[in-house]
This record gives sequence, structure tokens and C-alpha cells, in this order.
Amino acid sequence: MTAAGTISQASALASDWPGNFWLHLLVFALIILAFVILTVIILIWLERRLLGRIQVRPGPNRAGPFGLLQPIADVVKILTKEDTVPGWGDRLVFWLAPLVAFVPVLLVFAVVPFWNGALLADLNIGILYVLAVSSVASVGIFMTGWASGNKYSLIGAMRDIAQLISYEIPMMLSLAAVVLVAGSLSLNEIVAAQDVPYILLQPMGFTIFFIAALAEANRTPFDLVEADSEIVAGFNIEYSGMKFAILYLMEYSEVVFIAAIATSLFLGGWRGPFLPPFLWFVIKMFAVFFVLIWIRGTLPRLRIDQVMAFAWKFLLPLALINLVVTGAQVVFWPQAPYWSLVPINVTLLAALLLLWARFFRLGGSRVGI
Amino acid sequence: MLGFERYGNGIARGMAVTLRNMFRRTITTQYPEERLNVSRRVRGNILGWSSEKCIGCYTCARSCPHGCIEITTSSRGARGPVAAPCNQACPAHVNAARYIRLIREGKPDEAVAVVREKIPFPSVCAYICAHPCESSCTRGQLDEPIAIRMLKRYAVDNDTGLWKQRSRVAPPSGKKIAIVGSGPAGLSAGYYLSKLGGHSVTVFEALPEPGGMMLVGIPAYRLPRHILAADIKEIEQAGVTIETNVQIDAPESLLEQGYNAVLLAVGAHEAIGIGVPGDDEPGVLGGVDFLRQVNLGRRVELGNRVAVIGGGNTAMDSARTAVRLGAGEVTIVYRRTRAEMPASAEEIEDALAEGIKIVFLAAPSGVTSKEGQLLLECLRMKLGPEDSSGRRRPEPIEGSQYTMPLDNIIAAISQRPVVPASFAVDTDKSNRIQVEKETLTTGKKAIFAAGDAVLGPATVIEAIASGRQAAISIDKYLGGSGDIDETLASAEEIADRASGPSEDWRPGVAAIPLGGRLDGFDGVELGWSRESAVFETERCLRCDITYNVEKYRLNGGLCIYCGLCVEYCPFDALYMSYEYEHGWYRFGQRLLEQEQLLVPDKVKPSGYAHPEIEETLPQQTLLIDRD
Repeated sequence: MTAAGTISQASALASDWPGNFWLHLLVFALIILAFVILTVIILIWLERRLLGRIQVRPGPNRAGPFGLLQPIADVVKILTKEDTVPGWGDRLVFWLAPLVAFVPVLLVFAVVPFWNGALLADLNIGILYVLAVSSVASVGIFMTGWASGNKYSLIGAMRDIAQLISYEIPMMLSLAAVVLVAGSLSLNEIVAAQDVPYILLQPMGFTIFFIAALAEANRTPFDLVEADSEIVAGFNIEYSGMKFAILYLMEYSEVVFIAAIATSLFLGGWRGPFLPPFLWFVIKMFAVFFVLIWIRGTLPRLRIDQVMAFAWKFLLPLALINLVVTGAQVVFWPQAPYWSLVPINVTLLAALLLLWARFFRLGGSRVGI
Repeated sequence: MLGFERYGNGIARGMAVTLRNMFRRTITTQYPEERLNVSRRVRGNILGWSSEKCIGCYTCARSCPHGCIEITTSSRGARGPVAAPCNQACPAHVNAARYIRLIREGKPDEAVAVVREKIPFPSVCAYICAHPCESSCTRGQLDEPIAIRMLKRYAVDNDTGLWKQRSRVAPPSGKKIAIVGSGPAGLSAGYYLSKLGGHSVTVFEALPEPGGMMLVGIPAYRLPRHILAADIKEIEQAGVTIETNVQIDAPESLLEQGYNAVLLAVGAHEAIGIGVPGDDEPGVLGGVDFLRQVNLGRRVELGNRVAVIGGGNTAMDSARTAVRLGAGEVTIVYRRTRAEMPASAEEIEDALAEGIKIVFLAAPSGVTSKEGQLLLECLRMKLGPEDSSGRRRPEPIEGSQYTMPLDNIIAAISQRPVVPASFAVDTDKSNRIQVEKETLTTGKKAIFAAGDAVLGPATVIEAIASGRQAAISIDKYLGGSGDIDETLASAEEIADRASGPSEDWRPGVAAIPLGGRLDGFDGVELGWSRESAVFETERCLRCDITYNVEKYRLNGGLCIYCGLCVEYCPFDALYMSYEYEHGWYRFGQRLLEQEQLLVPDKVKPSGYAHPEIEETLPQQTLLIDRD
């Protein structure tokens, strides 16, 4: 398990590819920017098309073949909108907030390996960096809420903070279990360590991570931040034009970030047979997108009290148990073969889910926010 | 497991549904490509026109407030698929549309023949018909209905008796029929049974003169007596024997006397009282009783102040008769408003013109007698919700009593039939004879009933229609064919239409001056000249004739999509929807496979642009020529 695939290691990209440290930074910065923006555009299109199919309608199909140019049309539309700043808002913060929200999400991709060694910086504290930097995006969202001078946007931002703080903890605990198994914090190392995708070794960890990530990215069913029926449009209510576009970009970049992290940590990252590693990475990411969109097309939005209760009463205990169990497995049974570990962990997941589902009750004390 | 079932099961099933949906065929109506040519202002509207249904009647073009419908038709017309509304509305189904065209062609005698084909009282109807035909006239939706009754009056005034040349007389059948009552129902039945059934008909009339309600219910100033006498004379010439001053008590006795069938057409001659305390005071008269006395030439003592209770034609007749008898101050008390009055509009107009006051929203609540004068206590009313007849029900306002000092009160609320117990026929609670609806047979053998005795107080034309129905039924009962139709007018040749209907209003109707009116019972209304009549016929839309529409254009720049044309079209030839896609869809549903219209994900427009099916589509126009 700890013996990382030597074959893949051998074909690893040099850390200063294509030859120079600064050149490496520049090239990868451009690659990341292009990758994120391109993926976001495809994701937006894919999401609208798939949601359409889920709702038994074609979705956007007029701009370009299969409506492929719809995101471009949307961008043109958004950019030609009047750019307004509320008179009673905090002007400077209002201008700054979209950038503060977007840049951290982009920064996360610095440690995401597209294939072996192909990443901006192979930090040995990769996961820590990911968690730390991605949380900063919430500061940006809070700034939008504050600067808009609008009660709805402030409520939306407050919800985002509450949600972030609640779900950060189970997410971190589930990632800690992965780190225990892989024995490294570097994402590239973790991918290299996955002879079996960690979704099988860590089914509980993946479940907790996935749910928590949904909440962090404000995806349905945790999109309380922009619950139209409750707080009109949430934190971005006063935004228009390019600033709105950046916020929109930020939201979808977060989705890309979730998919990238989930792919790297649980789905084996760039590893896979026959196809080039980068393609494997992209295929796995889009599989995660599909599930995200599928969930969005199915599940209704939760109430804020349900969201909080779910984090603290359901995910946190399970994450703790998962960490303890994983630690015990690593310490006492380090040479366990996969064919015994995988069924054990899957059974454990099912048993714990069933058990907690019985314990877990909503209502009683509702949290109002 | 409870918790997991509650959450997990629901989530799993939901995910399964959405996953399955992804592979379903999408259901979305697409905007057709034509949308691109539709102006922004009218996007979302569609106006469709079907050449199959359009008969070129110009109703839509006339109804358009902006004049944006342009229609050109051929001058040659052909019989349309449906009878005109006037024809359908007439209880006796007189083909009004046809005789209007004959008058237009200058053939009033042919026009009378057309009327005579269905009713034996053309003159009576020309003077006093309640004309349901005019109420349903298509032109009436636009401005004013065609004055069908006045046109008929012009025709009978200029009749040359042409119809008699083509008149058919059936050979004697040897059967005898007795008819009780010489009103419109009885005489109509007798006429057809005698002339076209060949039966020997005797009509018994209790009053000294024949005519029934036409004589005793309708004042002479509306129906001059010589007009009525002329129509009755024609009936007598057709072989009907009328015996007046004969009161029949038992129809069975007539059967015993050798009659093969008896028709009870005794009418509805009993006035219904006001129904308040004191309505039997001397000086309180029944509306029809009062009219009968006057019309039979008997002397009726009336004071100066007369109140007439009710809002129907009987009330108007009573009030106007009272004025002619010398009452100086005549007031009609009606519990609803003018909009709900059952009397015909021209009657109300004439009554007001003759100085009669109408008190609306008042109902009598009591009558008292004091020092030789009557005190009518009335209650103010307000209109409540609609009742079963579609009129708003009057509701009394508490504490709004007021009294009117009067000399006479005429209760013209309603009438009911007088059916003596000796008739021994079934009656309902308003005293109407119960008959089988189709055959008009009473419960007893060989005894039939028709007219107001069956219908309750109705109009002359309804009584005639009832009489015709009775004639058919009795003829069949006696072994005849029941065929009482005859062809009196010459075969119809539809003349070319020179132009569309004229845009004028009705020409006025001359009446004798007010000063000369109130002294006697001369006919008030004067007939039309040839010019007026032809002028009026040109207004007819000819909605029973189909003209080939050569051009139908909608000026989309002017059209505001108000939908009036669609409302007015009597033939459903126009169709409008505010939902463009659904408009196409609904039109398409008739002609296209639903799937064809719902092609998802194709750049192809809706089925309408498919040339292969264009042939099967109705010609329709969606013309938008400026943005």
C-alpha cells in the first residue's frame, strides 16, 4: 500500500518542467487558468443540458451545435450588463470581494496533479494547503454580503460562513483518514499511493468528504446561500456585469475544485490503464460532475437547521469513528490485503450509516439564521 | 431501519427517477422558425383563419375596431352548411334569411310564401312577433340586428297572394278533429290538419270572437283587428270551422260526439295575483283580465291613477291600454331594473314615450283601501346574486316601505292556464297540462294539448310552433303521414352579391304621432316603404350563404390582437391564442401527429414548415408585415 507504483514514479514529470523553475511556474499558471475556465464553461453547459434532460426538456440548444455556445452567449450577455454598485454599500469591499472569493479557488489547483508530477507545486503539505486556501473563498463571499448593504445578501453570506465552519470539521477528519492510509500530505504522493482507489478503502471517508464538499461549494442540497425562495438570490443579489461573472465563475470553480480533489484523493487521480493519465483525470472529474448535477436535479434544498444538525450530529461522529477505525487498521494491520480490507470497510460504512440513520432525528431545536 | 427508510429510500428513489428522466424523450414545443419574422410587439400571439369554415360573411371585418381585416369574396354564393341563426332561433323555423333576400330582390310575395311555408299567421307575426330571430341575429353582435319583423311586415303589406297558386290541399280523410280554443296554437294546428291532413276540423271558442290571446291579450293598437281577421279568414278558407261562444267542459264528450281526436289549446288566461295582503280589494285587476275586457269592447272603469305591477309585455300592454282609456297617471312598478325586464325593448320605449312612468326596484308588499282610494305599499329592492334564470334576484331592503295612493292596480305579473277539473287531465303546479314532450299527447287517448296551456304564458310564435307540432302528432295518430310542410315559394336561386353588407344602421320606423295615438286604438306602427326595406336587407350578412373567399388578409401592423373578430365569428373560422407555440400546437393537433411537432434538438422548425404536409393544412394567414 505504501509502496507507491514505481512504474508511474519513473515516468514522473520533472519538477521544473519545461526546464526552468520560473518558466515552470508561468506555464503551469497559464495551464491552470485555462483548464479551470475551460472546464467551468463546459461544466455550465453540461449542467444546463443535464438538468434539462432530468426535467424532460432539451436544455439550451440554439446557440451553436447542441447549444455549445450558450456559455459564450451568456458571458457576452453578462459583460454587456450595466455594472452597478449599491449606493449604501461598501464600495471598496464591493469591488474587492469577487476577487477575494475567486483567487483562492484558483490557488487550490496549484497542488492538483494532472498527471504524475504535472502540478504547479508539489507541496508536502498539499491537503493542508487545499483546506486552508479554499476556506479563504468564504471570506470573499462574506465580503460580498457585507459590502452589498442588503439584508438578503448578508443573510446569504452568514449562512455561507456557518455552513463552512460546520462542514470543514468532518471534511478535515475524513481527509485525515486518507492521509493516514496514504502516509503523505502531498496530493501527488497520495495519487501515486492509490493502487486501489481510496473510494474502496475509505468508503466512509469518501461519503463524508463528498457531502461536506457539496456544502462547502454551496451546491444543492446545501445551496442555502442563494436560496431564491428565502433570500431572493443570496450573497450576489446586488452584483451585475463582470463582478457577477466572477462570482459565478467562482461558484463553478469550486465545483471543479471539489471534483479535482475527490478525483485525486479517492478516485485514483491520473491513474488508470490504456488512456493517457491526463485523460483519466478529466474523465474521473466529469464523472464527479455528473453525480453533482444528478444530485442537483434530484434533491430539494435543506433548511438551515437541517444543514447544521446534519453536520454536527451526523457527519462529525461518523468522521470521528472513521478516523479511529482507519488509525487502528493502519497501526494494527498494516499489511492487510485489499480483498479483506475493502469488504470490511464497505460493511462498516453500511452498518454505521444504518445505525446513525436511526439515531439521527431532526427537529426539536431549530436554528434560525 | 425507520430512519434509513425515511431518508435513504426517498433519496435513492428520487435519484432513480431523475436518472431515468435523462433517457426519456424530451417534451418541449419549439418556437417555429417563423418566430424570427414575428414582430417583437406581437410575439406570443397567433391569429389563424380556416378557409374551410369561413363563409365570407364579413362579420370579422366589420367587428374589427381598427379595420385591419381585409376580405374579398366572390359574388356567387351557395347554400352554406348550417342554417342561419335567425332560422335556428325561430320556434317555427321560418327561414328569415331567405325571405330577406327575396325582399332584396323585390319579391315580397315570394317572401310571404316563404313565411307561409311554416306559419299560417304571417301578418300577425309581422305585427307582434317577439322575434327571437332578431335576438340571435349575427349582425346584432356588431351593431343592430336586422329588423326581421319589420321586413316581414313590409312583405305582408305588399303581398299579392302568390302563395295561394302553389298551395296544396290534401284529399279528405274522413276524420273529424275538435280543437278547444281558437288561439294561435289551436288555429295553426287546425289549419294544417285541415289543409294538409285533409281532416275535418272544428274549433270551439268560448269567447264571442276567434283569436284567443291574439285577440284578447294584444291591444288593437299593436295588432289591428282587420289584420288578425284576415289571417283567420285564410284559415277558415282552408276548411276550418270555428264555433264561437261554445264552452267545452269535457273533451270526452267531444269524442263521444264522433270526433276522432281532440286538441286542448285553451291558452293561459288567468292572471296571477300580486300575492300580497289586500290584493283582492275592489279596484285591483288582473292584467289579462283587464285586457280581455277592453279588447272585447266591454266597459272598464278606470280611475286617474293606475299602477301596473310587472315588467313583461302584458304589463306594457296594460299600461298603454290604461293610458288610452283615459288614465292620466300610469306607473309601472317593477322589482328589478330595465336590463332585466322581459318586455321587448321597443315596447318599453313606446310606453315611456306615451308618458308612462316606470318605477324600478320596487315590489308591492300590501294593498289597503282607504276613503275610496287604494294605497299600494311598496318595498324598495336591491339586486342580489343571479338566480336560475340568469337574472339578478331582487332582495328587499328592510324598512324602505313607501305608499302610493292609487285608483286602480293592475297585476300583470304572469298568467297561468285555466284547465277545468272536468277536463280530467294531469296538470303541474302552475296549472299547465302535462303532455309528452314529443307528441303532445295527454295521458288520455286521442286527447292532445298545445300552446300556452302546455307551455305556460309564452309568445305567439311559440304557440304556433306548438300548434304545428300538435298537427303533426295528431295527423300521425289518425294514420296520416304527419307531413305538414309545403313548398310555396319558388325554388331558390341565390342572386349574386354586389358588395359586402352595408355599414349603415337600421332605418327608423314611422309611427303615428303621439297626439293622435292616445285617443284610440289605431295601429301605432306604420310600415316601411320599399326603399327602407331594401336598405335594411342590404345590412344582412347572409350568414347562411357561403361565398368563396378570394382574399383574406390581416394587417398585422394595425392588429392589436384584441380577439373581437374571433369572438364575433359565428362559424369558428378564426382562432387566436396568446401562446404562440400552443397556438401552433392546437392547430397542429388536428392535422399532425403530435410527435412531429415536438421534434427536440433539431434546427428544423415545427411541422408547419414541412412541405410534404403543407397541402393538408388549412389555409391560414399569419401576416406580420412590419415591426
